[in-house]
Amino acid sequence: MAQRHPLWNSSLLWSQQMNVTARQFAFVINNNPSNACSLGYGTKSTYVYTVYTHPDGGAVLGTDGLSNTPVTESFNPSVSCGTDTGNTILNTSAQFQDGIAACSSTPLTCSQTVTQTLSVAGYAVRTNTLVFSSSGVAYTSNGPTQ
Amino acid sequence: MKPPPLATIFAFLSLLAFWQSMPREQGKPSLAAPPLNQRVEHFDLNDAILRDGVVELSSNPIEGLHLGIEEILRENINDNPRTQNPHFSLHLENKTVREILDALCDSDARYMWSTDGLSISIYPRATVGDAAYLLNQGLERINLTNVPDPDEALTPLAKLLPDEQIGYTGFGDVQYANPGRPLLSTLRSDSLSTDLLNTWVQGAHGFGRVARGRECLLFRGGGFRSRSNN
Repeated sequence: MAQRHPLWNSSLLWSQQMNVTARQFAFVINNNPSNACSLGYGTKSTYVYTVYTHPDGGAVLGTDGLSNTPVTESFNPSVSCGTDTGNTILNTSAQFQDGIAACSSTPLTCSQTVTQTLSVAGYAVRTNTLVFSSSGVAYTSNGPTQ
Repeated sequence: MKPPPLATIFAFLSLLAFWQSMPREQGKPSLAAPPLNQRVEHFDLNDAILRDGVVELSSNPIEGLHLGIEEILRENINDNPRTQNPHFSLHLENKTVREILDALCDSDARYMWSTDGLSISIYPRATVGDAAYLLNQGLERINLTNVPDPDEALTPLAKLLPDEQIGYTGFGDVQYANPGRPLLSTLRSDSLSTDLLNTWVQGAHGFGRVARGRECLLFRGGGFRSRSNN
């Protein structure tokens, strides 16, 4: 049988109501960088991602205090045209960036298609399809976009 | 002897310079000791290949650690490295970076490691003394100034070696230590790879960001650039 707290029903009891909104990392929107590969063959692009949350659909701001939140990437299948994967963090603007490069002085020889998944604090926020070919890396976002 | 086409630079310059890394409170080593003497409380690898060990080591917050790996070429760059390299497991406690490097190179004896200025290089044992091996080729002179990133550093190199494939690939948070800073000056190189890489690292070190991630001059290491939060 549940015990009542001694102060239950006492005039000393008080309460406070607060409105809080839970936000969950949901999706990202990136810029559209140009190709900065200057070696003659391939691509080199740096994508800058802004993080958005649900349910408000708002962008995470630098003032939200979420800088240093871990950002991870994974590839399926693993990338044979490059090397390993790694991690980064949200910067002080609550953004992160991802450089994708396959740049060479002669035509590239590697071909592969991989799915890249980006996650913020463990929440998957984007998948991209990366197609490696003789012309570099073709990047296609698979969303989500909202 | 000229290497086979697939063995040209782009494929085998998996020369990574890892800097460090993910914030971790546990196992944080003393910053007073040289990187090789700093201790890592726990170093665990399960069914790993050598590059996994390098990634794991570089993910520890070891001040001043510049770690690079030059991987052995696969016959076909599309081959899965996990099917081409020996697998091993390591479970080390309270070992120095030096001891961990020894353990890694014992686990895959095709590799050895050495220090080169500020950087630690892990490379194929079989290439030592092979003058034909591209990364052992000497350059009489290369002039690099105001280099903002590997791309522009490699352009003059590609001009010097028109018959070779010079390139890099990579994924990650591509930020270079200090774009626009006169990073590399006139360089006389007896060892193409290590001198260039080392100079690059030194330039970054001067900017005080050596513990902030990973970069590589000739072949940009894959993955996001790992960073500590300080």
